[in-house]
Amino acid sequence: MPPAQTLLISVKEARKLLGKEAQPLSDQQVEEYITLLSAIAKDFLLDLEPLGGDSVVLQ
Amino acid sequence: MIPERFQALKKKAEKKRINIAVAYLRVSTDDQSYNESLPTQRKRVQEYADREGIKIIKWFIDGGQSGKTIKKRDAMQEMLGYCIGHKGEIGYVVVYKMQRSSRDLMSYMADFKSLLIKCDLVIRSATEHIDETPIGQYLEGVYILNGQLDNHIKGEVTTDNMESVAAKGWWQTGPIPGYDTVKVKVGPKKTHTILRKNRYIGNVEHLLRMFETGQYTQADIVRMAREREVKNYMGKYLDDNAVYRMLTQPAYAGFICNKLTNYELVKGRHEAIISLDTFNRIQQIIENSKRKKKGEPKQKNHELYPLKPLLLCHSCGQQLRGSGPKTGAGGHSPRYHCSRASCKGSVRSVSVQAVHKLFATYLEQVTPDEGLLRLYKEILRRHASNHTNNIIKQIEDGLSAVAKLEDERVRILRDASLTRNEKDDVLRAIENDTRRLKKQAEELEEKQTATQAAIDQAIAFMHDAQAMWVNADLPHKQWFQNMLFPQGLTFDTMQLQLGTNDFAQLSPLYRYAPSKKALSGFSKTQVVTPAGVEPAIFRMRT
Repeated sequence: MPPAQTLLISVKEARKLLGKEAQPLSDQQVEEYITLLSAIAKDFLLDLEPLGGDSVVLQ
Repeated sequence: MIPERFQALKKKAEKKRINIAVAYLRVSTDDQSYNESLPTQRKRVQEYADREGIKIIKWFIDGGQSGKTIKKRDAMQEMLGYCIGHKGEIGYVVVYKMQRSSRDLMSYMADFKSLLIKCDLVIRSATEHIDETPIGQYLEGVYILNGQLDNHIKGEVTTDNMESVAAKGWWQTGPIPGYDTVKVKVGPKKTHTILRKNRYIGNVEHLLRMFETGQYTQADIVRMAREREVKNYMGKYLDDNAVYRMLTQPAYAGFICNKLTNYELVKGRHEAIISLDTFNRIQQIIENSKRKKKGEPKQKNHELYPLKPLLLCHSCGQQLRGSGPKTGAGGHSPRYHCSRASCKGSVRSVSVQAVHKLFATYLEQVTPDEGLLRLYKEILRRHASNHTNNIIKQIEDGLSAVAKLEDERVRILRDASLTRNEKDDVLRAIENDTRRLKKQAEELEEKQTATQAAIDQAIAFMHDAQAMWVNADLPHKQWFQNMLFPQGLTFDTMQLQLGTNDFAQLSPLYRYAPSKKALSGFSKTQVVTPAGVEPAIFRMRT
């Protein structure tokens, strides 16, 4: 599974969004879903990087 | 009055052992010289029987047999079978000496004495005092142990002698391909063995030299040996094992290496056909071509076998394995298989291309649940939000910088200390900066719009499980697989079907729903699965 990192969304919030289908899933499994979906989402938005830094510079 | 049951027991206790016996004689070659020949043994046993009033009804004789193991002696086994078959009809087993029955205490107790007890028989020695008294039973063990000790001492002397002979370079085992064994007289009554080349030697040398080139496999050498009709001393063609032993036999380089030389190379007395360097090169080729040894860590994740951690054997339920056996054309054919002993015969290997195609077809019919899409959208939104916030901040910074430049421009215009030319230079620079900042702000706004487009694209992509899996790199492929089938997916290698039994499980956050396109080739009554694909069974493990 993906390496452990700070979750972008809590397990509780995720369960609310997933609905009743997620009831049989353990917290660990929900965490894994969040991590994987975050990795996929990040990959999609990667093309727009870099986001940080001072790109506006006064000469 | 004594109760009836005690009377029965008393009768049993007083019952006299039946005076019928079987006799067992054994002779090994060594015993002939100690006046323990079969006629001598038989005479003494018969005398003992006559003296004790025992009638011997059957004789069992083993000739030239070792006293170590009872199980390997034919007549002994026949006698034990006879005793079992005639239980109650025989009272004794008579031997010439206890050492005739066995020279190994463990074997005597486990394979002989235990059976005698079962058959209610006792053993008697014609030349030793053995009976059921404590002393008699003690002596029974001592006599056997004496024989065992004698054997061990003899064995030690023999091993020492053999080691000494091996150290002198004499050959002590059987013939090898290309060499016969011949006896060489080294003393009035002493001979040793040596290897002598036979008619196959030229071909054996050719095979060794061919293998040394590194262009041929062991299987090639087996084939070439057969073509050249190289046979072993029994007249049989060399099989895989025989060729392996031939290639690893130091005797061809003129050396002896075995247990007697403590597995060290000792210069032999026979003629070599290859040099030690050639022999070493052959060993290096064999070492390099070896598969991974048992217990060596195997590569868990391999680009060629992304489904290895996911697919479960339909027969044993454990993970399938991946390997690429060599093909006849010299390439490799990567395949999924289950090579566990319990699955032999019921599970076949399948090429990775076929399995990946089948899995991708399966994924075509899999769609994410609404809840999963909601979660994904929210995650995307939060990621994008971080991203957009950054963009907005940068735009704001840019606009603020533009405002500052405008103030600066006004200040310069009002400054009376500057000449007109100086003012023009500064104002031109400010104008350039303002133009650049405005352009950057426009680009950032475009990026903000592009982010929204990327989110839409990402959501659309999530709908397409097949594309997600096919386009992902190895780690993402495997995460995605694990998300779809947290409990693994059973693969029937015989029927080429996925998800055919209880081991399989599609995540509750995904649906197996054949698309209209997939259904177009099927009638409505057949609307279940495409050929070779069955839906995974939805069942949570409890």
